[in-house]
Amino acid sequence: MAVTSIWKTLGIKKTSDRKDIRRAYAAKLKVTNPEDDAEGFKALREAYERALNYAERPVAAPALSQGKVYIVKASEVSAFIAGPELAEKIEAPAPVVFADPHADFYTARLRLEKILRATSAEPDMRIKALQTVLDSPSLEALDIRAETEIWMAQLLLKTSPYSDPLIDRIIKRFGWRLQSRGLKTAYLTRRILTRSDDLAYLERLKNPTSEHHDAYKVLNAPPKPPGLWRKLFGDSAGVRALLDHLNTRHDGLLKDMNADSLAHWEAYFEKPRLKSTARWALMLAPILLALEAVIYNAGPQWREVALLLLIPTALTLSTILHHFAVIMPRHSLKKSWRLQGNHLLQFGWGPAVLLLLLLAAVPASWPLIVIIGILATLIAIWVSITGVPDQRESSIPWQMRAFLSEGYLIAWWAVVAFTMPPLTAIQMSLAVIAVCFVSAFGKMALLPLWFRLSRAWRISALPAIGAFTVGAGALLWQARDLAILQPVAVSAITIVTLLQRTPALTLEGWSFRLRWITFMGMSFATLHGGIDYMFLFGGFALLIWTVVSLIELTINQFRSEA
Amino acid sequence: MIIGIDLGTTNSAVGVFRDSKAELIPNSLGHNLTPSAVGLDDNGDLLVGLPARERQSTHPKLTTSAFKRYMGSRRMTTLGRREFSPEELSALVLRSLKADAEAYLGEPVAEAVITVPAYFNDKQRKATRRAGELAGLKVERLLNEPTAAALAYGIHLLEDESQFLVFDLGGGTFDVSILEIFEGVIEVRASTGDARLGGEDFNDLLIRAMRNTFTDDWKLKLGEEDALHQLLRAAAEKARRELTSQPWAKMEIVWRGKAYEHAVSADDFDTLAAPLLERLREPVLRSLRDGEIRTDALNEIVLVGGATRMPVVRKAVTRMFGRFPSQTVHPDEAVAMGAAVQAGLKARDQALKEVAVTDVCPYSLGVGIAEHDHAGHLHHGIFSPIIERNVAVPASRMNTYNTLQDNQSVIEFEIYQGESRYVTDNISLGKISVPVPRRPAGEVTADCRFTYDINGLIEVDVHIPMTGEKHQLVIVDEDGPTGADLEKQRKALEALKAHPRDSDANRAALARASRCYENFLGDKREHVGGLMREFEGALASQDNRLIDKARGHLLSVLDSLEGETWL
Repeated sequence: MAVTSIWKTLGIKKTSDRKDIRRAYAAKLKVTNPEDDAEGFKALREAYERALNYAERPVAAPALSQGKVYIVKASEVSAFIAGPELAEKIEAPAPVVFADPHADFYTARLRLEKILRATSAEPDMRIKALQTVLDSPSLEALDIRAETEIWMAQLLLKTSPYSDPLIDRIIKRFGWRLQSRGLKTAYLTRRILTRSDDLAYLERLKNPTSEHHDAYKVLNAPPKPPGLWRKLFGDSAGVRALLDHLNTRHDGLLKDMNADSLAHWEAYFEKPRLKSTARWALMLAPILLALEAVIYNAGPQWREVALLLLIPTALTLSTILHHFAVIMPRHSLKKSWRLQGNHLLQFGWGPAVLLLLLLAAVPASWPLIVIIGILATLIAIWVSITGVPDQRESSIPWQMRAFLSEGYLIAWWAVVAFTMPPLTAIQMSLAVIAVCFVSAFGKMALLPLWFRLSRAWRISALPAIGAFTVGAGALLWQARDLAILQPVAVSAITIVTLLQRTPALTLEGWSFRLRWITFMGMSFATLHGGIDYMFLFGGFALLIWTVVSLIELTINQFRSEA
Repeated sequence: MIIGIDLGTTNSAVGVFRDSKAELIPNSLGHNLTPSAVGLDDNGDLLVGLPARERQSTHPKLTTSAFKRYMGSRRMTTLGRREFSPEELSALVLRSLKADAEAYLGEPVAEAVITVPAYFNDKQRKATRRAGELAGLKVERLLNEPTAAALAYGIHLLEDESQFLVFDLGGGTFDVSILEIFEGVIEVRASTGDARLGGEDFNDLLIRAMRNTFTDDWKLKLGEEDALHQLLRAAAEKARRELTSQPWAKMEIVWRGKAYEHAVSADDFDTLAAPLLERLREPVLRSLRDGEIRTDALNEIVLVGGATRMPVVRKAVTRMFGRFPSQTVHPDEAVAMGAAVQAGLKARDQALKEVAVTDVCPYSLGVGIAEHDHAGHLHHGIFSPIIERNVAVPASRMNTYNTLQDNQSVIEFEIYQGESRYVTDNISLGKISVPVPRRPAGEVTADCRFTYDINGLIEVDVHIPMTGEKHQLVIVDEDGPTGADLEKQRKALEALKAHPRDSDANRAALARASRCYENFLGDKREHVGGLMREFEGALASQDNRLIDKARGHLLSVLDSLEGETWL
């Protein structure tokens, strides 16, 4: 509504006289009745409210009269309480006069304020003084109570932390609640309630059994230079978690912590640092790799032990990879590079990965391995910076998530690698690990692209992927006997897994379950039939899973269109 | 002719605006108030009003009252072999009021203004409107009770400028409204309340007190609970009324042939009632804050509702405002009078041409959202109000929301009513799901418009500017029947046989006598038994003069034995 039309709607000239505005509104209201003309009334009401806003605000209410004298006739009292009929029967004595019934209350209030401001007062005295105020019958008068609530809230904020032990009593007496939205005093009471909440959390922190107690002790004491052990293995994660928690939930408590300590830790966390897990992994990795090399070379009978040892080695290496290739570059680059948002940029790894997999299937040679290695590293770095990790199960630690979503690919690959000549195995593994990486950190980037496809494209893409899957299956069957086909089969299956990934992401629940079944099946196949069976089972399970997802997707696609 | 109906928890009343003034319509017993009680007699025929209330303690399985407290819920009440929903029971009361009005006015009545507590939510309002339809009444308007009381109070004060507060404590609900009169406009400035606080809660205090005294004597068997409760409730109600005029009262009941007695003093009652009085204080405080008004700026405190007769409540009010409240309106009848005035307004009565009334929406309405805090954490279940409380109605307001996740395909608007920042503490009214095009987070916006009409019913429109799609949700009660079902239900209710109106007085007297018979022991019981036989004999003679005489005698003896009947 334009400013001029306000006055037109009201039918008067622009004025700041509230009386005129009200008179005009009243006159119009009798014509534009809310009963019969809802839209007309809404317009009139809006004009009226805006006109009143335009007009001066009313003069502030008169200050609270503190010395009022109430004169009430006793007969009036009884007449009022008993009803007129009965009042006649009660004899009317002389008028009762009470002078300023609230004088005691205001004295008590002054006393409380004095005691709270005196830093040396005993806690008991504070509580006593407070109780006198809270128990006063004067609080039953609504004006006094409303004014006292504001006064009390302001006093509490001014005299914290001395008044902290009193907060809960006051909240209970006045029935302050966080829900009381929209009250004029809500901002004050909310601060008090937040303080009370903070204090309760502080009490919990002081309890030695609480989760963050150790971190609290560190933050509450002056900072001290770290010793060698703490430098190497000290875990600052607890302190970091507590700081995060305080910053997001209880920022009022920061002032209750040691200021030097806070400054020290905040500066400490400013710089990107290796987590303690990464430090441990860095120390373990050479030992594990050396062991792996020794056992693998000890003879063919030790191969199975080497296979088992491969699992911790792979985990350790992936931890290191995660820190150096994901966390560190993200931390240092992402602050300035705002690369999210452009989906095409995020999807840049796509063609590169396909090229990588095709290259990996070419007969192995050292120059090719170097090229593939460089390409894989570039892809990994690209994805870690621009990629969008899957956050859907973000309560699970990333290692677990990566294991659940990509572990089966690595596991299947590890088995296949043992059946290949060493050079081919190295070449293939570089490519497959890059795919897992892309899968873990870049797959969400594919979603927007998928949804940008038109309906027809989406529907025709699904059978195309399906046909490719069946082809890969046939290839896998042949590759069982022909070692030369094996890299091609591995590449094909990896591409299939990658391709159907995006549409499968739109399916919730299904995928995790199927992955587990695949993984369990692979373990059983190894136990009962040896590595060849596992190779077959793993590959086919992947393919079957892909086909099932595709069928379900196609059905969903059609159903949603219908 | 439009009638105005006050459909109360304990009592109901009906009024009409004619000859330039509002008047109440007496029922078949000549009373202005009809107890909101429904029952079946031993033949399965319908009883409404006083005859039903008198049978409450003697026939707890065949009688029910205070069903307004369950309006809008699915709670069913079994009477005899049939189950009744709260709105069906209310419809039976409305039907009886309608019959009274038709007999009084000598013409059929098809339209009504029905009052509801201001703090009734959308569900409860819809149920009330359905009750009206079930009774064969077109509900022209649902009017807030405190606004009705204010109409009754303010209609004579239109010349003045004044501000006043209506303190409406009924049998089951509590409302506070602050009103202003200027230039012939009666404007509600702020309205708030507690939909579950009323005289019945004060009765419960007395009931609990007496039960605590006799816990050991009253080891209840299964199925006896209701019978005992009804006996105690009647005794508590009586004692509470006695405490209005005397410093102490006795609760007396006869249970398993033994008399029990529990004395309460007014002071005891004050102590018991303290927590309830604290609950009265909070809405008053809130309405004063919302209306931006100090108590000394109020010209008058208007007490409405039967429960405000209690001295404890009056004393509490006096202390709250530092002065005595007004006694100019009749606490039980003001709401029905106001409803009658509203009916006159609705019918555009000439006498009311220079009057306009505006009301407010007493609670905030909005949707549940999720939002990021300053640290980037996502918080779900935050209440985002669209219509803030105390906005003049009818009103419509709009807010714009956007998607939160990439490729979000649906925005779900869950509608809430309440004042809490968190939706879990508010009341959910319904849900509307709107499909949106899949885009990155935040790109898709949705305009959500709430419309609150003059009857307090809500409509939600969602508009997606990107696609131009519009979706509408008229919040419907999933449980409530509509259209043909409602018609069928109405027919079923109509089939319930009611007695001719002129026999109501006899039934009420007989019901009262048999209640007294069960509540008395010894000589008194013998006496009542004799009188009942005499009255039944008179009834059998079918001689109207004889019947009237016997009934008069019976009632005067009962009055002397247990005090006059209250309404």
